[in-house]
Amino acid sequence: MGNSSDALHRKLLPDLSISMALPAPEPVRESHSAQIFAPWLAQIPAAQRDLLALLPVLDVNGAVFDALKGAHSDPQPLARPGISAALLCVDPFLRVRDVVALLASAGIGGVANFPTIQIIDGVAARGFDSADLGLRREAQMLARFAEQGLSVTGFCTTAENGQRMLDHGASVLVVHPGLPSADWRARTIAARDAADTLHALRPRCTVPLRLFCPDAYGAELDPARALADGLVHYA
Amino acid sequence: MTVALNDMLQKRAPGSGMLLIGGAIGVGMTAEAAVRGGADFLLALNAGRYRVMGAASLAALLPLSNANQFTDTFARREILDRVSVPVLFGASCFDPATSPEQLVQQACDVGYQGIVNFPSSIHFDGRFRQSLEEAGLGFAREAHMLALARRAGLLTLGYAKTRAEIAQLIEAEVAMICLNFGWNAGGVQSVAQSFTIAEAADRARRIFTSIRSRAPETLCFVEGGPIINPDDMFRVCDEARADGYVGGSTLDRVPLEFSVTERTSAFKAFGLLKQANTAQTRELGRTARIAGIVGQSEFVLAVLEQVTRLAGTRIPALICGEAGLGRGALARALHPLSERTGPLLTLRAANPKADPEALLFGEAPRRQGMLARSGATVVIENAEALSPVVQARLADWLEQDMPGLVGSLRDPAGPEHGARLVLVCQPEAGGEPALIAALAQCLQAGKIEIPPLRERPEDVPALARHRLAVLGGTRQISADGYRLLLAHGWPGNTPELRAVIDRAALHTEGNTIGSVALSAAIGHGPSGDGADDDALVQPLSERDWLLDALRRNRFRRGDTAAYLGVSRKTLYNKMRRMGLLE
Repeated sequence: MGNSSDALHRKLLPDLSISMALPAPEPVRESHSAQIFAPWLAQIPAAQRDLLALLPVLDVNGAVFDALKGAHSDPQPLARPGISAALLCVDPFLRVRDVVALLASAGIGGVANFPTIQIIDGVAARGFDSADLGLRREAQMLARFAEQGLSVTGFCTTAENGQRMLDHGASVLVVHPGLPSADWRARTIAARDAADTLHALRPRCTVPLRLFCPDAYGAELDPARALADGLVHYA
Repeated sequence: MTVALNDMLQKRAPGSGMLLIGGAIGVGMTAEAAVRGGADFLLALNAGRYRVMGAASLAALLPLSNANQFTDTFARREILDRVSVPVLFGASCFDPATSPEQLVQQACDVGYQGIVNFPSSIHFDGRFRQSLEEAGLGFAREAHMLALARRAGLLTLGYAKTRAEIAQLIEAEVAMICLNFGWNAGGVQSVAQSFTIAEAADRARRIFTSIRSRAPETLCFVEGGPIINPDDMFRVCDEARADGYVGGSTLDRVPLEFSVTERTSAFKAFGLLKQANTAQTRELGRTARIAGIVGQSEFVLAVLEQVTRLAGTRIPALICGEAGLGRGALARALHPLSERTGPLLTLRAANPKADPEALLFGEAPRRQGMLARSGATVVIENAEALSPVVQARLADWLEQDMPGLVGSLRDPAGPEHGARLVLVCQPEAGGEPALIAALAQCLQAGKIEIPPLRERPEDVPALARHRLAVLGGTRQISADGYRLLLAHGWPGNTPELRAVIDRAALHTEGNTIGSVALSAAIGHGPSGDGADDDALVQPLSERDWLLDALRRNRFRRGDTAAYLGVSRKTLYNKMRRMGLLE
């Protein structure tokens, strides 16, 4: 396992972008552009998107579905194999069968738990867990997508959560440093925690291990960047 | 001060003991039901909508929709202008694209009477809450919105959890502060709790004392957390001297979960029992049709079951009761119900020209008695008029009417082909038995006692409706008309009731027979005893009448409404008017 991870680490993967636009279908080939499709980003200001993406100001999944309904890829199946749809996996009204059919019709082969409920912390997080709208539901939903043959990009905020994502079928793991604070000290602590998480996950991770870099983070994330196989950022 | 707030303050008069109740709802059905139940104001919240969609209230905080648009859509379509109490708009300040000023203006334009900060930043903590506050989308923005709303003349309710939040609400001079204890426990989607009831009560007491010292006009409410039933609410409100309670899950999700589960289970069980019951129900219906039995009381059902069981045997029957209760018809109905092959023979024992003994036992050798007729049913009306000698002979005949006995009294083909005896008599009067002991003993197994109509007034509406159906047309009896019928003693039993309905129908020009026509018709009826006269002069007050009906139906409103022949809404309105809801 260690050798495999070292190999990945040595060969830095191309960045994975989170984009609000869906690329045109392309012929199936070995290397293709990787992207997380998050059309709902268009509905919120860039400066506050990490925060607003988890608030009741928009319909994250509804935006994805609306965008995909007009993005049929016929007649070529899986014409966008490197694309993952950014879904709110704790949506209590999310129906796996419908999502899988819609993704297939658009030629999309993956999903990502983005935005992730793991960003909500404290007593509120316990409330979500208690109401089955928390991490457990998120992980279970990803597992069901994996069972349907979709590739799963699992965002995680801690090593423990990352392990859970792996256990539920994640084929890519993305460490999320959390909401960027206006206080540089808080950002530094968050960046250090992200590095620790990457470090803890490295020995047990046989899949690409990436780091999400929200715009508001700067050099404080550099140590974590050095530990990741690749980066994820907004397009 | 807003008109809506003024109205509520009047309800919450010192010493009234009345708590104000706010219903946090998300669908028209629960809104109307909450108001019918006495809610003083409603909060249109996205959480209420998500609950009736099957999700937990916490879904209100997730990016499933734009909360303000989502809430406004269902509130306009299903709640506003449909209820008689103030409706507060659950406004979220999370969206930077909509300013507090715009939210308040929108609430005014649409016609909400008030505004409440929901979904709120109070439900977040930790780093996430810190980010909200840093982004300017936190509680200060909510308090600002409420202050603007107050200045715009809207009723304001501020949700808060902490002392710091409450301080901001006091600063904003909101009319009502609701201390939230977190998401509700209870039901299938229960959320883990931070407070016990005792802790919640203690916390509310300390915080409300603080609020009243700074803003004595502010109404203080509690909500959520461990409060899941009225007892919990009372305990917390009583200890904290709260002005009221805001219920969300406790008003819709928790009771809905229980009642739907319970009702579905009842229907499911009914389905399983249906097969077994169908044959019995059909048989009882046939008995009722043939015997002409009308009514909805437990007594009527019991008689139908007893007659149906007796019809399958040759057990001699004794039908006791006052005149005018259909005893003769019931006795004669046993013949076709039993599907006997012989004739139906009736003897009126009170007829002075008849010789009951000769008719029953025959005059040897020329004439065969009724009891010797094969497969016959012999009905003796006014059996109490039979002489003790004849009654003794009948008792002997019944004693000997056993397998193995043959001769003139029995058909040689077997006991099942012998005559069946059915006696009709008055009930015991003044402790004097109507029949001699030996005969009464022989008839004990097949004895049916029919109580007078005054002892089962629940059958009066059904009998009246049945009579109207016989008369034809679409006439109905008004609610006050039924009240009058129920208050009457009916000394003449069913014939008197029939005559009253006939007369009232004749003298009513419209489609509804009211109390005036019925009162006049009763006044023309047979003179009753003193008690009945009193009942006519001083019928039950409407309140007593309602109470009586509620007691008879174990305070089940649906059953009571059906019993009184009024809608549930009418019943509810009457109960509210009579102060029976408190």
